[in-house]
Amino acid sequence: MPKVYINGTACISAQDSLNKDAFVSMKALDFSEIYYPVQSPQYKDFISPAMIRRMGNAVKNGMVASKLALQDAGEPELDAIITGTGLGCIKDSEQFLAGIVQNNEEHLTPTSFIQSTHNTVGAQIALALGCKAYNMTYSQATLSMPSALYDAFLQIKVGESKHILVGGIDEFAPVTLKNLGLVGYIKSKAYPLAPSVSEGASFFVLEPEKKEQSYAEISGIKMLSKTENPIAFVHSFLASLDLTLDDIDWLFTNQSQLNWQGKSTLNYKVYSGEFDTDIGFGIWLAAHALKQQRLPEGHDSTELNRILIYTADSRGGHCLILLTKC
Amino acid sequence: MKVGITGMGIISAIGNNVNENLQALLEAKSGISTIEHISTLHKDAIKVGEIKYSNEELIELLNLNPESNYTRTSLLGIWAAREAVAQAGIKIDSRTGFISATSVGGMDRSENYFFDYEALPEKQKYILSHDAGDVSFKIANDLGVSDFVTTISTACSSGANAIMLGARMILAGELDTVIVGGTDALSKFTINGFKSLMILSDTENTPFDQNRKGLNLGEGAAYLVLESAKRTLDKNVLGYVEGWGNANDAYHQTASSETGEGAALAMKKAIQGAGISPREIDYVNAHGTATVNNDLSEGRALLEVFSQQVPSFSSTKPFTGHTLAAAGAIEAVYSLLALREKVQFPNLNFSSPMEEFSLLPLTQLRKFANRYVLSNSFGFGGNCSSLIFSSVYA
Repeated sequence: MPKVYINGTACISAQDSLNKDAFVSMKALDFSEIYYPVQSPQYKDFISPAMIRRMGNAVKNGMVASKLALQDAGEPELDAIITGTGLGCIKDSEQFLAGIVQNNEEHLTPTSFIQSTHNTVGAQIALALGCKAYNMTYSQATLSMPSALYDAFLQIKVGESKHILVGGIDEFAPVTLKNLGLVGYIKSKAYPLAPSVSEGASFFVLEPEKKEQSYAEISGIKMLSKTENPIAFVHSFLASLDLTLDDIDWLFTNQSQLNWQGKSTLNYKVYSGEFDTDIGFGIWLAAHALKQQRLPEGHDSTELNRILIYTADSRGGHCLILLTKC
Repeated sequence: MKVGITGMGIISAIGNNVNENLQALLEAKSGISTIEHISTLHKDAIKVGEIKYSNEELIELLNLNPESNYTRTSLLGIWAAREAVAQAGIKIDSRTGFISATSVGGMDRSENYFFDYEALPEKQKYILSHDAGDVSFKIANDLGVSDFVTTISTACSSGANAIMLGARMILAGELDTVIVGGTDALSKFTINGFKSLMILSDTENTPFDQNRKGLNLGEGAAYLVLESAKRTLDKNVLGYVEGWGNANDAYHQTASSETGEGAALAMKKAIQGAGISPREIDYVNAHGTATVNNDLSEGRALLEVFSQQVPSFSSTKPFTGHTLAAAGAIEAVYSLLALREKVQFPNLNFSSPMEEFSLLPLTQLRKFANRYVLSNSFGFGGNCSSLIFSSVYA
């Protein structure tokens, strides 16, 4: 069975993640704010000003990150474009809804409705590339990006595809921030200890070929919607790959308190902030750590062979992704 | 023979279960009407395929907790998924997954309170049921599925895409049983969205008609149960998912290319994957939304794929309306019924053929022992999907 390699990456986040070496000196967010914007690329280097005006952050960031990941991978001709997004283009949804309410359902312009569909980013990427290949979008809260990655992984494993662009994108919008804060799902005045949020777009090019530029191998990926026993989940996942927890060098997670047999653990959310597809940042970080054989400041790295990514969410969804040095 | 189907479930404007839907299809009884359950300015300017139960009635009939935050989309989904699972007689285990599709998600509830939550504490429970993922978690939890759960959201091709992923996972041995399909409820958001695009008709939709004026929105849900070869051994198989294809038109965010390139690619992929030749397709359940753009584009694609010899075809959207993410799944159920009942359903409301080509949809129910049925679903973002179902006798 073919192996699956990450051969191109690009990540737009609250960190300077477009700069490959910046991750070593990354600083954790201080979480005093409710929302942290991304460190933006120069959008006009990639998108026409007229289009920039019409695009929400998800589409803008998705367009740029996908272009950069493809460039990084040497611009292969794609067999598939697969995206994951938890809330989709929520800004456009809010705009269209506001229009409905304010104008009493009259004289509405369709632009924000059109752009609010979850597969807008994937569609815009295909349009820009003239790519008629398989195009899929997943929206399952924190399993959105894992689903996209899983689809790609499966296609390569069964020999269906050889060059796949996978990405996770999310954005926030004012009313959604306010509403989530009302119920303490994210930080607010009433819930100061709830997570601070951010946004981002992380894109990867997956191929069965190991290359000079390969970052890491995705050795396995598994999703569950519910489990009483995450430890059992991780043991059985690793066992299916003929491994145990002893074979894992670092655990990357979105959980703030995780202690699995004293394993070295890094909570990537302290850098990325929280959003449904923040696992994209975690994967980006792990891929670069394995390639460069170093970790962000404050984390000791002797030898880095295997990084296991584990995410879980109170709404549902547990995911394990194993990345191996290649 | 690829992936066996052992159960199906459905709720739509023409019936609350598979049998009711079948009766309506056989009797040419459309479910298009005037909207009752949503107060919208456009009430009298549109026609819809509405399910006449209120949310409260659905909650009661489903025996669910009214204090919880069930959105209409998830209620319809639970309804249909339960029927499919009951028919398949499966035991949910760790080799069972759930793949759903939606475009509305929980917007049917949140659109009512979105800007007013602060003043409505008792409605705040709908804040966390807004996203697409919540719908699928609610349905999965109701069924008892705790393994692989995901949602596809690619607008009007979503339901077909969910079936496609499920079939692939069964073939790859990743799951032995998977419940696949989609659900979408009517909402002010989509009504106004399609209205602003000026593609809603004020009369009953007329697919492939020269004078077609646009679509009627519909709501509904449908699910199939797909199972691996070892699990279908001693079961009553309804039919097989024989081929599938997804391609992107890459032409425009909402409009389809004039040549229907994406549609043609998707159909060809499905036919190739099924290992058959185009002339073995006996019947096509078309996407046929009755928009000026879709029917032209799809018509051209059909002519290209079938080298001008297009098989019997019809759109069933005059029965149900366009149910968005549920469409691919609802129409999959209708394709299976066409196979099982040995019929081909009519394209209601048709009177004048389109000028651009000579394509005549079926206008009456036709008895035919179909071996292969092709079903099309094309969504915004150029997302084109085709599925081929085969009869157990094929």
